[in-house]
Amino acid sequence: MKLIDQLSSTLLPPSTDQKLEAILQQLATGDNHELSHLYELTQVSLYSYLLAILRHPNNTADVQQDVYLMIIEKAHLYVPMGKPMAWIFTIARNLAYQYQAKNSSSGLTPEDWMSLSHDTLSVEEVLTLQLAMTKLTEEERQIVLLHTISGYRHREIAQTLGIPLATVLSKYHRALKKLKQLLKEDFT
Amino acid sequence: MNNKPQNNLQQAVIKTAPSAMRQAIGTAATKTQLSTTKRLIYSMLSVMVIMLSIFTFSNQAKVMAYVTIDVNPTFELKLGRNYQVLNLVAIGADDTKVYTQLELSGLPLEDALIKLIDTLIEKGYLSIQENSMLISIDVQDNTNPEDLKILITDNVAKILASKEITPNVVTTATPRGGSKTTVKNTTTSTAKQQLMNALAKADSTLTLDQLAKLNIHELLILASLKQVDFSNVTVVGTANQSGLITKQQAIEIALNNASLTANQVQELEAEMETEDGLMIYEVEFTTNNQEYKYYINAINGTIIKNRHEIEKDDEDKTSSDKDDDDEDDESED
Repeated sequence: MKLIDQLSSTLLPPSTDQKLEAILQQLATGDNHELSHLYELTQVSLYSYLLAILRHPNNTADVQQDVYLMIIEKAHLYVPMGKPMAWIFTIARNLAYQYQAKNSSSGLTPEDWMSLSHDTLSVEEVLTLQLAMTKLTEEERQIVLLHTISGYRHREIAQTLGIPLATVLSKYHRALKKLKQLLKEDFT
Repeated sequence: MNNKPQNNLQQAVIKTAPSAMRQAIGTAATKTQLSTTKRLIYSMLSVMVIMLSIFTFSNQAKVMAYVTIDVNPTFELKLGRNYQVLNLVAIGADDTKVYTQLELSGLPLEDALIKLIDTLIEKGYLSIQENSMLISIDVQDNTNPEDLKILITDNVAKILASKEITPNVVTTATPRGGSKTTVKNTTTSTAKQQLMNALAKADSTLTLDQLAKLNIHELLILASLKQVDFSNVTVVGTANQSGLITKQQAIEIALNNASLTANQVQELEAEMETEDGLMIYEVEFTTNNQEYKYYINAINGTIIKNRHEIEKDDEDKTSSDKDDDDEDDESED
C-alpha cells in the first residue's frame, strides 16, 4: 500500500489535501501568501458543512470568517496526517456550536428563505430547502450538501467526516428518499 | 415534481447563499457532474485508444493476399502490407519442417521467393526437367490482382532463369471477394483447379478425378498438348517435355510389341491421355482383321495395358486383356 501511495504521489498532480497541507505548513511559519489559495480551495466545502449545522446563510458566512481566522491562528498546531480538511471541519464544528450556543436562532421559514434569495426560488426549490433544513439530521445534511453543493465524492466525504463509505452511501440515499417522500406529501 | 430533490436543493442553496459565495458554489456544484463527464470522456478515450491500437495492429497483420505456389507440394504464402510475407504454410510436402524453418516471415516478397525457390531446387521439386510452377493469387484487399500477378510471375520467372531453369509459370489471380483458396482442406489450389477445369473442358475424356492425381508438371504438359485456352491465366514458358517419350516413340514401342511395321497397319492413332494418375499414350491401329490398342506410360515407355481383337469372325474371337504394370514385354498372338 505504501508503495502505491508513493507511486501515486509522484505520478499524480498534488491532490487538494496535499496542497492544503502545504499551505497550512506555510501558515504555521507565518507566511500568509497562500491564504487566498486556501480560501479558494475550502470555501465551498466549508460553507456546505457549516450550513448543515447552522441552517442560515448569513450566520454561516459569519462563522466561516471566524474559521479562517482560527486556521491562521492555529496552523502551527496542525499535525500533517494527510487529512487537513478533517482538521478544518473540526475547527468549523467547534466554532459553529459555540455560535449556536450564543445566538439561539430558530430555523428559517420558507418566507425567510424567499427573502434571502437573490433570484426567484421556485416553490419546489424552497420546499426542498426547507425540508432539508428541518427534517434531515445534521449528519444527513452534511453528507447531502457536501455531495451536491461542494461536489465531494462519497469516498471523500467518508474520509473527511470519518464515517465508513457504506454508511455515507446509505445515509445519502436515505436522505434523498426522505426528501422525495416529504415533497410528495406536501404536494398532495 | 419531476426534478430530483438534489437538483432543487442545489439551486436553492446557490440562490440563497451570500453573494460572495454564490459563484464559487456554482462552480463547485457542477464539479460532480463535470467529473462524471470527465470520467466518461476518459473512459471513452481509453476505449478509442484500445480500438485504435487493435485496428493498427490488425492492419499490420492483415492479409493482403494469399499466394499459393504449386510445385508438387503446395505452399501458401500470406502476404501482408507492402508485399511483406506474413507466413508460409507447406501443404503436402514430405518434410514440412524444412519449410517452417525457412523463416520467410517479415521478408519482402522478392527475397522470400528467392529463398523458397532455392529450397525447392535443393529438394528436387524444381529442376530443368520439372520446370513448372502454378501460382494462384487470392487478393484480400483492394490491391489490383493483375499487378500482383505480373509482379510475382516476373519475379519467379527471373529467379528460375537465374538458376538456368527455363521457367514455366502459370499464374492466376482472383480479386477480392473471389473464392478464397481452399488449399487447407482439399490440397487443390485455385490455379490447379482452374487448370483441371480447363483441361476437362477441352477434352471430355479427361475427368477431374483422373487429373487430380497428376502433378502440376504433368498437367501443364497435358495442357500444352491439348492447347488448352487459359483465358485469365498468365503463362510464362512451356513445360519441359524432355522427361517424356514422344508420340513417335510410343508408336514404335507399340508396333514393336505387335511385331508389325508402320506400313503394315492402318488407322494408326496415338494420343496422350491420363489413366489412374499416369500420363500415357494411347496408341491404336488395325491390321486386316485385327484391332490393336496400347496404353504406354509416357514417362518410361512401358506398356501398361494392351488389347487386340479379331474383328471379322465372331466365333474365332480371341480377345485378351492384360493388366500389367511392370513387365513390358507382353505380346499377344
